[in-house]
Amino acid sequence: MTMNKKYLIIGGVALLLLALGLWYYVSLEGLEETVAFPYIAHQRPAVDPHLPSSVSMADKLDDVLFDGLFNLTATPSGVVFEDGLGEFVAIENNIVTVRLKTGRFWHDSYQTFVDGKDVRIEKGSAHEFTANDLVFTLKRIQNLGSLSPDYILVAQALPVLDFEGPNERNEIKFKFRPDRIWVESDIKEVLSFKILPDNVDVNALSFSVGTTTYMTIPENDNTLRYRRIPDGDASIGNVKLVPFIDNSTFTTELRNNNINVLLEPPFGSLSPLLQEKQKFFAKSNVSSTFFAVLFNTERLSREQRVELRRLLNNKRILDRFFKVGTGQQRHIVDFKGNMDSYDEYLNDIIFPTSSYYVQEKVVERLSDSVEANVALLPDTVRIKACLNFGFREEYAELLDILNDPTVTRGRVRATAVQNEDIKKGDYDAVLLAVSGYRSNFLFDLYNLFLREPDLETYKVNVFTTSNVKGEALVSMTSLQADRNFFRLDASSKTREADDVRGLLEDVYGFMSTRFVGDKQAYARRVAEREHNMALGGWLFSLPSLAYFSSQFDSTSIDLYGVASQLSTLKKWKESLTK
Amino acid sequence: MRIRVYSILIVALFSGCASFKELQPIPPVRSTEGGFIELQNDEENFLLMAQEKYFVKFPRSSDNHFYLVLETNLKKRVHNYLTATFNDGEGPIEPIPDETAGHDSMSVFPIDTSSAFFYWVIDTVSANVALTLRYRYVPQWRYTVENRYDEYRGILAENTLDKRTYESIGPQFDFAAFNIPSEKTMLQERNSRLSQMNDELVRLESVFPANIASSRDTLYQLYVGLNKETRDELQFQSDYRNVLTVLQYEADTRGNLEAFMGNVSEFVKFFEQRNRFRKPVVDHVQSLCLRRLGEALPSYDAQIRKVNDLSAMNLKPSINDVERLYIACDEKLPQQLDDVRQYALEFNNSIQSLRDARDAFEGVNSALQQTVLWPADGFYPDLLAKLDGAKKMAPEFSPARYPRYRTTAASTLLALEIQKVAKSVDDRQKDFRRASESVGKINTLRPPKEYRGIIRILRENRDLGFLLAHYPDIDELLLKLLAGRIQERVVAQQWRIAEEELAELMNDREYLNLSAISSAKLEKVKALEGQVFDQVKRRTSERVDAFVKQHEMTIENVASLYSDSAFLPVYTLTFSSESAARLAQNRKTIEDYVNQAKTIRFPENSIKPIFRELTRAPQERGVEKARAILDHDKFYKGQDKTVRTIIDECNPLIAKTLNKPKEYRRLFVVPVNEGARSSNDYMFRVNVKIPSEAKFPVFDINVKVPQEIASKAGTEQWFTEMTLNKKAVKTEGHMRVVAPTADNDFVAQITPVQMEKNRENIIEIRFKYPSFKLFEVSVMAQVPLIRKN
Repeated sequence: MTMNKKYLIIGGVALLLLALGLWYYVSLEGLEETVAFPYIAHQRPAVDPHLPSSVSMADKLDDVLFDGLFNLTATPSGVVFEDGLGEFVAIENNIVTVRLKTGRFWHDSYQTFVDGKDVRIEKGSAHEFTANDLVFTLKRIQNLGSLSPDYILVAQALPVLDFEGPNERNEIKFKFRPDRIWVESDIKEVLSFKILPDNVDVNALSFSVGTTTYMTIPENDNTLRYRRIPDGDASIGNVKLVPFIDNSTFTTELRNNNINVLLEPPFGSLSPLLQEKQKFFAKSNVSSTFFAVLFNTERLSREQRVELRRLLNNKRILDRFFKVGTGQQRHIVDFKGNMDSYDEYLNDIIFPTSSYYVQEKVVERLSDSVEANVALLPDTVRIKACLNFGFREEYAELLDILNDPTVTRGRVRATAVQNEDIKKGDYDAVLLAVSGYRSNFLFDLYNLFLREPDLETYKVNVFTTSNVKGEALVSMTSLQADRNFFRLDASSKTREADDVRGLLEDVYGFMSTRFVGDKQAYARRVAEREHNMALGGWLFSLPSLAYFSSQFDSTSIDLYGVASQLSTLKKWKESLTK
Repeated sequence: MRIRVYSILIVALFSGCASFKELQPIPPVRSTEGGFIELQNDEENFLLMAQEKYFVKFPRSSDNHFYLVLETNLKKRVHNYLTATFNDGEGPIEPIPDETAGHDSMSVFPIDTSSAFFYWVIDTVSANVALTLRYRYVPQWRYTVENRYDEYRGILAENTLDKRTYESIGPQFDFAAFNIPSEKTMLQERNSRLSQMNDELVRLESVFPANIASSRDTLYQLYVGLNKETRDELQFQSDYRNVLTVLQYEADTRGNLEAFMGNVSEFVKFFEQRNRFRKPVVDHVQSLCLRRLGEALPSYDAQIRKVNDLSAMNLKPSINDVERLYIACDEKLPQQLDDVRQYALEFNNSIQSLRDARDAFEGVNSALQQTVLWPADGFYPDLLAKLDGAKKMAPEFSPARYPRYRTTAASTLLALEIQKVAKSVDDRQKDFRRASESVGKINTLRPPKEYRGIIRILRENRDLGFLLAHYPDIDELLLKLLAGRIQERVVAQQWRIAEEELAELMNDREYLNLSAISSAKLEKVKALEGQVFDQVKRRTSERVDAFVKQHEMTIENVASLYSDSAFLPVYTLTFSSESAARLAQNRKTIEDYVNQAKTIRFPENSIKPIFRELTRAPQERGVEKARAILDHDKFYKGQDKTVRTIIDECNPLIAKTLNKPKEYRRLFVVPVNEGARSSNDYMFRVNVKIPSEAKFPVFDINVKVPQEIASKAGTEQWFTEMTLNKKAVKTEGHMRVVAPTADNDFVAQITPVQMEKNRENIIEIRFKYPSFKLFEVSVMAQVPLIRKN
């Protein structure tokens, strides 16, 4: 090789590197001082800090916009509760004194001025946080009842969702229940529910005015935008949610720097993209999404459902899903750092294996290794799925797998359908991705059993009544055939009627109780009854993995739990090596 | 005249301030006795003006008992009156009554010398009128005699009797045609009128002047004659009335001697005044009386024969009255009537004597019935003497002296009664002699308390009830004697002998009046039996109480204390007067006391102070104290909540209840192996019974472990076994057992612990430790929290 040629080669490489660097720099330029998440364009997150959402991003935004009296925040050593809108003063004889902070303003205290892409924020008329906002919020939580996880948390501490005060020091007093020794961390956890201003519509579908360092600014071209308030303490000034048709391009968008954080990558698996360690890094977490096949009880008898459950061998499906043992194997990592521990994601019962109830052996895993008697099944079991509301990649893959005769012995025909078909119940079974589930005590059974079978609109049907003692009871009208995926009807006269009603009562008992023991007992009942009724095939959970652009300093990002993933967003910092 | 009238009017006009005007007559009024004098104003009548008032002053009379007589034409036309005091109409005015108020023109006013003037007052003049007035001062007797002499003469003539009827009364008088009552009525009417007139004449005498008797006043002489005639007639009428009265008596009582004799005094009085009456009248009345007295003997015979009891004879009429009338009639009482009197007298005297004898006899009986207790030797000799006296009192009645009445019922009855009394006295004398002998013997046996001997004597004389009555307490004395002896046994704690003698006493029948004493005897037996029972019980209780007191703080060999003889009765009862069941009950009572002391008080009295000591100084022989309490518990059958709680506190097998959340409960932990070893086994149990609204309650259990036990908890398990309702508790699934370390203040936490609602939830923890000692552990349960993260 001649020297010239050598210099040419070196010069070419240098030019190439320069070009690459220039491209990289240019490509980053649009996300400077910005955290950008993707979202499915037709699944705009409706932010309600007191209700769970089918769109996991919606729950995560609770922490971005709203403060509690105390805020949960993640640290390298675990979670801590920091002062939010309150300051813990003392507890004496079960009376908890909290000083409400002054000088904390609601986001509508600022005015936004839009000039093309530029948005300017200026102080408007001050709307300061007061005790009235807390009263409003507590009343709202009280009214939501078992629909709200916050109600369960608060009710176990407060016999009455109210407080005395404030006094001249802006202190309020809560009367806690006398059945335990309340330590400061427990008190703060109980009082970590998010607070809404008292001037909002209590029945609004989404709330946007909070007190955190990020405030909502007008969206631009369907990009949902949040901006650090003028005197905010966040490191990064902008947060935005960028719309995409589905999740099939998320990885590419990340690579293309259209987004810089991907909290739920397709398949939850480690992408080759992560090989580029200078550009990306990942953080794993506890699963928050699982796939299940929910059986239509109007079309399938219990015997058929049992056989269908046996037919849906989740191990086989999971292996195919992650192409285990093939050259295209999708590798995964769990939050403990274990690689490819696929079996840990297999679900045998309604409670995911990752959930508290299984992990803590509150409920027993009930595996059924008996080979399915397909003779009892219809000639073709029609399993349908709608790919338009997230997880398109995963759905598509699973439909292929279910249609594979080597997996389902040729008795299943799985097809993608529109949401209308799902709403009509035109299926023998429906394949569903249940996202945003909590692996803690507050696992949401309403989301499974009482959710309206409409993937476009998240609606839970819980109706209550009361007995002569004034105790709340679930109304049987909560479970009507056309208002849940299983097509269960509590008013039916079938031989399963008692089980259906019992299931509804157990689900309500589970969701409405504030007692740990009751929660556990109802969990066992629901798991056992569901297993006997064979209402679904509980396939597996998706590994929870978040991809980050190396634009961010990985050490500034602490993830803990699921719903609180963005609780530390204001602490995120951009990398100095950018 | 006209001038004078005008002058009066002028005077009246000028003296208009006075309401009454005085009429001053000319010539003035003269108050001497005499005829009427015209009252004029200088030979003219006074003219009275309408609406005016007047008065005239009349001087007093020369003597008392005068009348002022006024005759005027205006008596009924003007209102007038006479008064002794007058002050121009002021003050009280007392008019003098007009004794001729009904007369149209005349007024008669009694006046005297008490006032200087009398005022004739005219206070109402309706029209002008001339006054015509005559006045007269006259003594009242004169005015009366002048006006009534003729009237009195008429009354005397009308009421004087015709004397012819009286004069004709005699042996030939036809009484059949003579209506005595009618004659008496007529007599009474005339006598009444005449007496009334006589009274007026007598009253008139009181107003005569003192010297009238010597005067020759004609009017007075008329009065004297009238008065004498009146008195004579009244005397005759009185005599005649007496004659009519006795005749009336006799006639009215014919056929009824007793009624006739009821007027014996009138007849006797009549005969005593026989001189007032004509002799034929007296003779006639005497013959009537003697005829009636002849009815007496038959009447007395009938009365005596009618007597059929021994009550006193009370014959009617009185024989004495009969004798009195005989004498008034100048006759002597007939002999037969005198015999009647003597017989009645003797009979009455005899029944009185008999009554006295009987009373004396009854007096002896009464003396006997006065319940003389334990009489002296001389008691009956005295009574015998009294009986002799009674015997002597009995009468000696001799009806033979009265042949007329010898066989009457009264005579026979009296004789029989006398015999009967005599026999009673004889019989009683015999009994008294026996009684006297027995009393002597009894008085000999009394001092040495030989009550059984006395009872024998009395039983031999049981027919002498009065003798037995002297000793009503003999059975009681014997019972008291025997009971006293038994009581001495009781005092000497000779329980067995006492019970034997009690049995003898209960079966003893040698009493004077067994039926009467049986109840008391049984009561006494019961009382003594009760004393035996009480004494045995008391001695037993004192012994066991002292033992309990002595050993209540003992903590060594506690179990052996319960075998001590102090927990047995001092004597086992063998006798009951009532029944075997009662005996068993009494035994049981004592045994129950002992058992109560053994199984209740001794454990309780020991457990409480020992536990106080344990609590005060758990490290000072804590295990021995706890085990002493448990040893007591082996015998304890009480239900004292505190004691039970203490026992449970010390018994490792008993789960200590946690019934409130979040409050630490201290509990003692002692070794469960018997003696000290190189490695001792400890155990404690906790029963979580905390109320919960949850259907499936779950709690966090915190155990504060002693530092010396937990010191190695970081490197090795501090407990050997931990169970919940006999199921092992370990860190598995959702269950966590947190080691007690200095970081958590040596609190081991077990969480969450699922409890069974409304049931026992026993957490048992076992551990080992080299030392044999007592540990203190604190346990707390609280509701776990549902956490968001």
